[in-house]
Amino acid sequence: MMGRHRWTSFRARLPIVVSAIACVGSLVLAGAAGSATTDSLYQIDTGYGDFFYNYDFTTDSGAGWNTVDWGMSVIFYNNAEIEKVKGEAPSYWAGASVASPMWAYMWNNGTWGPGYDQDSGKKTDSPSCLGSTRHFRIYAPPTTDRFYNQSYGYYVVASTHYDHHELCDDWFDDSEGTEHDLANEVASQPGNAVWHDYANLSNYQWYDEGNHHWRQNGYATYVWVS
Amino acid sequence: VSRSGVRGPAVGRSVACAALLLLVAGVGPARAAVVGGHEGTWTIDELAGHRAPRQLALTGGGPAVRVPYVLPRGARQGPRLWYLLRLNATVRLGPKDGEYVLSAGNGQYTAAQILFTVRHGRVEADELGLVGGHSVATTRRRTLAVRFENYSQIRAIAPGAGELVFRLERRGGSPGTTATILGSSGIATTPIAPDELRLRVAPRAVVVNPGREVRIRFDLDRRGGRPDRPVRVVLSGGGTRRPGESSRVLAYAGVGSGRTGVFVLRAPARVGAYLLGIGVPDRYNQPSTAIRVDVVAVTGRRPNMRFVGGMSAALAAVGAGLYWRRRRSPAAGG
Repeated sequence: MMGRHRWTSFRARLPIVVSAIACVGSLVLAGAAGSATTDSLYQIDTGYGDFFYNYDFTTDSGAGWNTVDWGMSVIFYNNAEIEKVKGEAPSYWAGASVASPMWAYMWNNGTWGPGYDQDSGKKTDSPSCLGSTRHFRIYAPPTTDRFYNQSYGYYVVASTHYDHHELCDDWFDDSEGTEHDLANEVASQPGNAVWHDYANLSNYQWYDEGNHHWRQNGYATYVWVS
Repeated sequence: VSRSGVRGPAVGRSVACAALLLLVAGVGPARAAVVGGHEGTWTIDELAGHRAPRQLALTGGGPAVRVPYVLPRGARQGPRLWYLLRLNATVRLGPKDGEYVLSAGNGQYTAAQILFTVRHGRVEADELGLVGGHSVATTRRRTLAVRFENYSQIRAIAPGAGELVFRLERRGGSPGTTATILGSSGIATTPIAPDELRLRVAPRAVVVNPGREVRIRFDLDRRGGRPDRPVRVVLSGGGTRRPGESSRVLAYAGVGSGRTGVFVLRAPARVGAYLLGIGVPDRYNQPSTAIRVDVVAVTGRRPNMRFVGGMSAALAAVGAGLYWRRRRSPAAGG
């Protein structure tokens, strides 16, 4: 009976369990240049032994509350994979040569982890002095480039933001705008679909921290990849 | 005339009978087979009632191929009966570099996603599922055999009509790449739950001083009817092995009636919180557990000299005060 109730709830809404176990200072705390901070760092438990942190990090050796970059904001699921998703967002064409890498901390049910995945992501344009580019980074355990479980199928997670005047007076913002722009573009491919702001990843932040202008509502958009 | 008059209705009756026979024999419009409800295997050859070709052809970037079926009343994914999707195929990759995704699912719910990457003449095939775990095969051959099965998604299993959907996607590469879905592909059911290996670890949280020994014990057991195969229990996150520490990987020929082991580590010199993992990679459900290790500085062994000094001074002052009162008090003198 217990299992039945659980699956019923899966149908109603894909399971997102924010683990209260590991918060903020549970990882090694080490500062890094250019890092921002948060008081909302949590493990997102997607079931079956999979988890990822609800932020990506500026370091691959000391993930913690003071080394975060951006909140995770999009989950691509069902038949997703890192390169496949990148290929389904052609507006985001500029890659690692112009985008700096960040790291996600995750675990894939024993296949990988706990450990870091690195990605530079994709941008809508090259950096410039006066221009702006939307930018996403997409993560999954690096040995597999996707998770699999029975609730999400094959899935990956992404963080999003908007870069401005990167070569001059730079600042960064609009996670929400890039989240929706990216999700809409991937969802426009045949067979794909989107649920905007579908699940609470508990990473709401909406204030300025230096040139890091937090603009994320805490909810992730889900994109069904066929 | 009479003959023709007789022949006319006779021909009509023959056609009607033939049509009826064909319909009864199921040669008419295909009706999906009912599958599941009990333990068994239903191949796409059987699902199609032997009416469809024994093999289904896919072309890279081409349309999906669908095989209908019907699940019985009450069908659901677990906990007593679990549905698996089986994908047996032959993939012929073209000469150009590129990436291909061979996928299969119950309707829109994907349960098989096999990645083929062709780079500089080498082919890498990458599988990920809850039965075989994760595996990567590298070869120079261009014709590859796929034998894959995986537990279907929970929402994919529901009573009523469904279909198996097979597709070969292409990113770059050669247009001539094809896959042949073999007739042995299909649906299987099993009472074996996906979580077949069980890993218990103790302790899950450790507080230790720098340089001290940390011992983490694990118990691994299995259930179900899947074959017992070699397993590796892997400790991750512990960094490079140091003197006095155990191996980071403990390998066993099989789980048997259960395995118990101990990982021995030395806490690093640097104070902080560390996350370790113990897992059984690439096997069945690949169980894993995280262990938190808090390395704290040594405290409380040396006396606090300020405190001792302060207390001594206070006691001396109180003693002197009492002594002075006794000397000045007449009663004390009497």
